[in-house]
Amino acid sequence: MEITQEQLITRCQAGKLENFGGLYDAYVRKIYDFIFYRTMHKETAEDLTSLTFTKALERINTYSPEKGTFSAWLYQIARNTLIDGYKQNRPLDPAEALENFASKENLEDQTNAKLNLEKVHKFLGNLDEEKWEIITMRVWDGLSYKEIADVLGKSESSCKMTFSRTIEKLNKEVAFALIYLLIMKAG
Amino acid sequence: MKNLNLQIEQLSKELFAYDKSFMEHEKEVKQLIGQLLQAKPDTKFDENFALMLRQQLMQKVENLKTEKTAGTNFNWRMALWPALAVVVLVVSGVALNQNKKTDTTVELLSGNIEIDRVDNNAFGKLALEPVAFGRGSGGGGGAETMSDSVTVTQTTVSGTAGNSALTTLTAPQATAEPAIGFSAGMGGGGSGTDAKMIAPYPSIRYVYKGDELILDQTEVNVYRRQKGLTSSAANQFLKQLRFGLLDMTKFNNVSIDSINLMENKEYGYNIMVNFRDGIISVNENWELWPSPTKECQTPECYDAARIKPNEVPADSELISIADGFLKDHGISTQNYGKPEVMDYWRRELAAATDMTQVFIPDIASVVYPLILDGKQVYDEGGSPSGLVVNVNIRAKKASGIQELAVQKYQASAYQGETNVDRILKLAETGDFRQIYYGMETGENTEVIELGTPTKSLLKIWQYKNGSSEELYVPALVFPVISAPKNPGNYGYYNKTNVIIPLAKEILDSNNNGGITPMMR
Repeated sequence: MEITQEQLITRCQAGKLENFGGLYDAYVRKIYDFIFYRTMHKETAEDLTSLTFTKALERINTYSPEKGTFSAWLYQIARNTLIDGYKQNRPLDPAEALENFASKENLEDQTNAKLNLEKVHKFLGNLDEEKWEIITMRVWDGLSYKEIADVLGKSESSCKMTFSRTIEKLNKEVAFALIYLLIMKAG
Repeated sequence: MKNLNLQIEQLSKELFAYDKSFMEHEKEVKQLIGQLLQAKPDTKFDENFALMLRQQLMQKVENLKTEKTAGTNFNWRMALWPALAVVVLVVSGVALNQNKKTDTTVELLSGNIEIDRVDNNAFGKLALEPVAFGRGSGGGGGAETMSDSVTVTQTTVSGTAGNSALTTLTAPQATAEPAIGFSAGMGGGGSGTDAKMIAPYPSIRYVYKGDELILDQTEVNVYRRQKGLTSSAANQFLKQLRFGLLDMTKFNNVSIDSINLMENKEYGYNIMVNFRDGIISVNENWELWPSPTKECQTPECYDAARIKPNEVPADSELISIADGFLKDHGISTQNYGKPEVMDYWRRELAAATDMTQVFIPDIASVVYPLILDGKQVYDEGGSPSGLVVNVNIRAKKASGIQELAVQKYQASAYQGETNVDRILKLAETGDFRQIYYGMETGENTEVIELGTPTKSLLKIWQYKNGSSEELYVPALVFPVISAPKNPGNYGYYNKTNVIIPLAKEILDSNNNGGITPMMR
C-alpha cells in the first residue's frame, strides 16, 4: 500500500524521521528548479537546495496543515533561504539572472523562435520582483494560486489578479516588439 | 509537446475564467503562454547531487535521533549511525567468563560515522607529500618514494598490467583500487615507468568550458580520519587469555594490533582486521579458490587461461554481485554513493590496435564512493574513492573488500582558496600537482575540455612524525567532457575528472610541483 504524503508527514512528526526521505524524493527536483530559476547558477542552486531540505527536516514539527499545504510550506522555506543566503552576496535580480541566462545556449536555434524567447526573457526581466515571482511560480514551477498565495503571504485573488494583469501587459509588449521587428525586417 | 499544449490549455482556461476579455485575444494569449513555458530554463538538475543530498539528510536523521537519545548538544558534532560495518567479536562465554555468562558480544570496531569539530588549523600545516617519480616495481606497476618513512607499492588487483600509479600519495597499505588517471601515472606491467619516458606522452592541453565559477568560501573544512583505536573491551579480553605455551598476563600494556581470520571452506575468505588503522579488508582465502592458472608452469598455460573480453560480465552484473556480498555480510552502503566498476581495461581494449596485448584482470573492482559530510570523495586521479568490492570474474563471486574503515573524523577549518583564476589555471594543467605542466608537448597536442566542477573531497595522505594521516580536503572535480581523439597515443587515456583541492595551504605547498625524482 502506497504511503501518502500526509502519512509521511505525520510519521516524521511522530519522530520517525526516516520517512523524510519520501518527502525529499517528491520535492527535491521541484525545489532545486525553483531555486535555479531564481539564481540561474547550478552550484548555488545545489547549495541552497541542501540548506532548504536541512531546514525542513529540522523544522518538520512546525508544519501544520491548517496553515497551508506542505508544498507551500517547503517553497516558503526555499524562498526564505534564497533571500537569506543568496541575496546577501548577489541581489536576486530577475533581469540580471535572465540576461545572463538568455545569452547562453538555452535558447532555441530557430531565429524567430529565438527572437521571441529573447523578448520574453527581456520582458520577464523587466518585471518587478513580485510579478516575476508570481509568473514563474505559476508557469515554471506549476504552483497553484493557493500555494503561491501561501508562499508569498498574499491572498489567492490578489495573486490571480497580478498574474492576469502581468500576462495582459506582457501580451501587449511582446506583440508590440514583434510588430516592431517585422517592420524593421521589412525595411 | 503534448504536455506543453496541455499546460497552455490549462493556464489559458484559468485566465479566461478569471477575465473573459482575454478570450478576445485567445490566439495571442496562448502563444504568449507557450513562449513563457518554452522560456523555462534547463536547470541542469544532477541526479548524483540529489542522491548525495539524500544520503546527507538521512545521516542527519540519524544524527537527530542520536541527539534526542543522548540529550547532548550536537551542534558541533555529527554522530551518524548507519550500520556501515561492525566487527563483532563473539567471544565464547567459556573463554571469557565461564561462570557468569553463556556468551558475550564485544563490539570492537564501530561503523558509526562521527565528525568532531575541532579548532581551526588543528591538524598543523597541510602539505602535499612528494610524489614518487621513478621506476615501478613490476607486477601491476608500482612506485617508490624517497621518503624514508614509507615505501609503497600501489598494487593493482591481481597484477593488472597497465596503469600503475606514480603514487596516489603513498597509501601505507596495498590497495585494491586500480591505478587511475593519466596524470596519476602510466606505468606498465612488469617494468614500471621511467621518468625519461614521460615527456612524449602528455601532449594534452586542458581547457575549461564550464560555467563561471564563484569561490567565496574563505574557510573550508578539512577532515582527518581518526585511525588509532584503543578498545578497552578487546584489551580486557586479552588479559584473560591463557595460552598453554606462555602466560599472556605476564605481558604489560598489551593491545590488539590486528586479527587475521580464515574462513575454511571452498571460496572462503581471509578477513584482516587492522585495529591500528581501523580498517577491515577481506580477501580470497586463495588456497580454497579454484583457479585454472594454479598449476600453470609455462607462459602458454597462462596465455590459454587468460580471460577473454566476452567472459567479463556486464557492469550491472558485477555491481549486483558486489551488492549481494555487502548485503549478505551486513555491510551497509548508506555512507556511500552509487557504485561504479573500475573497468579501465575496456577503454584500453577499445583503443588497442592489438587486442591480444590488452590484459583483462581476473578481478573487477566495484567502488562505492564514500560520502563524507554530504560530499563525494575522490582520489588524486579524480576517480571515486571509498569502499571497494572485488569480484572474481572467473568465479562470478565477490572475492573481497578493501577500505572498509572506521568512520570517525575530526573537522578543522583551514583557509580556502578563493582565487578562481588560480583554480582554473591549475585545472587546465590537468593535475594540481602540475607534474606535467610545462613539459615538452608533442606536435599533435590535443585539447581536452573540462566542464563545470562539482564540490567534493580529495583523499590525501600526509606523513607526520613517522605515521600517516588520512585527510579529506575540499576540492572541485572538473569532469572531462571531451575525450582525446587518439587515446592510444597517450598510454591509454583514462582520466574522467581533474580534481583541484581548495585548501590554500595544500596548493601553496605544491609550488615546486611536488616531484621528488627517485634515483637508484
